[in-house]
Amino acid sequence: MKGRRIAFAVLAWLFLAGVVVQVFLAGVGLFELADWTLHADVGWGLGSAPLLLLLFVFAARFERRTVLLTAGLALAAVIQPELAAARHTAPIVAAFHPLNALVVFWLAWLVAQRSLELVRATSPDAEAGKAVEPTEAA
Amino acid sequence: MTTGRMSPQHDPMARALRGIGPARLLFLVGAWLFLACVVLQVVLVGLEIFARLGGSIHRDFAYVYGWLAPVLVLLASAARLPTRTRTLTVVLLILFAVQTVLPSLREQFPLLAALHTVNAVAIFALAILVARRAISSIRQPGEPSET
Repeated sequence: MKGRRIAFAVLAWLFLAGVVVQVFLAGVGLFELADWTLHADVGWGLGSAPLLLLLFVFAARFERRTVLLTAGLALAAVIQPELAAARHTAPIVAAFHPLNALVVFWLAWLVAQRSLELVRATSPDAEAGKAVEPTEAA
Repeated sequence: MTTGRMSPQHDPMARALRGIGPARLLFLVGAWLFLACVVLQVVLVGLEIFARLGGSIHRDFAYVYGWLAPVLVLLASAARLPTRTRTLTVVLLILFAVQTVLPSLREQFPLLAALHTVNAVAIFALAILVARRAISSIRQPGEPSET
């Protein structure tokens, strides 16, 4: 049980770091240090990464709040590259790409914080199969 | 026979508001207004980039709500909020000031200018922390000023 929680925490923090790097790559494109190719390529990869987190959430039998946060993160991350791709057909919809980036960041941050709480909350009871509910996230 | 209206001395809401104090109430309103403006600012940049919204509304809007950042520092101090909250408002002010300068470095230091987006996310995260702490300060008005 603890091993799954640690793996989930590592993935959650790696994803959060990836989001920050991706935001920097947007700045690189915006200020014309490079074209948008790298931001776009990383974005398609990053968009599906939370699906892996979702697998861990179900495998480790986390409590409802973590499941909902991770599901929300997966949804926001999956639609993020689609929003940018809609720029030619629906530019107003595409305009929500940066706002959704904030949502992805915020949810990734909450999930990462939660993952640490879950690792800390793992006790011998949890090891025996009883999930220990961590206290409410700050 | 009563008139159905409570005097201010007996109205629990009025008593609660008096206990909180105007500085904390203003801080709460200011913190959430600032967060809402940051979100709107990000929508505006999206409209500029993707919907080819003309002009420089994203830049101009920053100067419309930017005054809130120093006001939050003053209100946090006036409301005698915990040191950590006051520090967060100062950091928010610094990040906001840096944010307005970063795009102008585009020619000399383009790599620094590219941090404009990362700094925006940092401002958003800090604004959330400050807004949440503003709610906590209302829920615990008797809280000591040091954490």
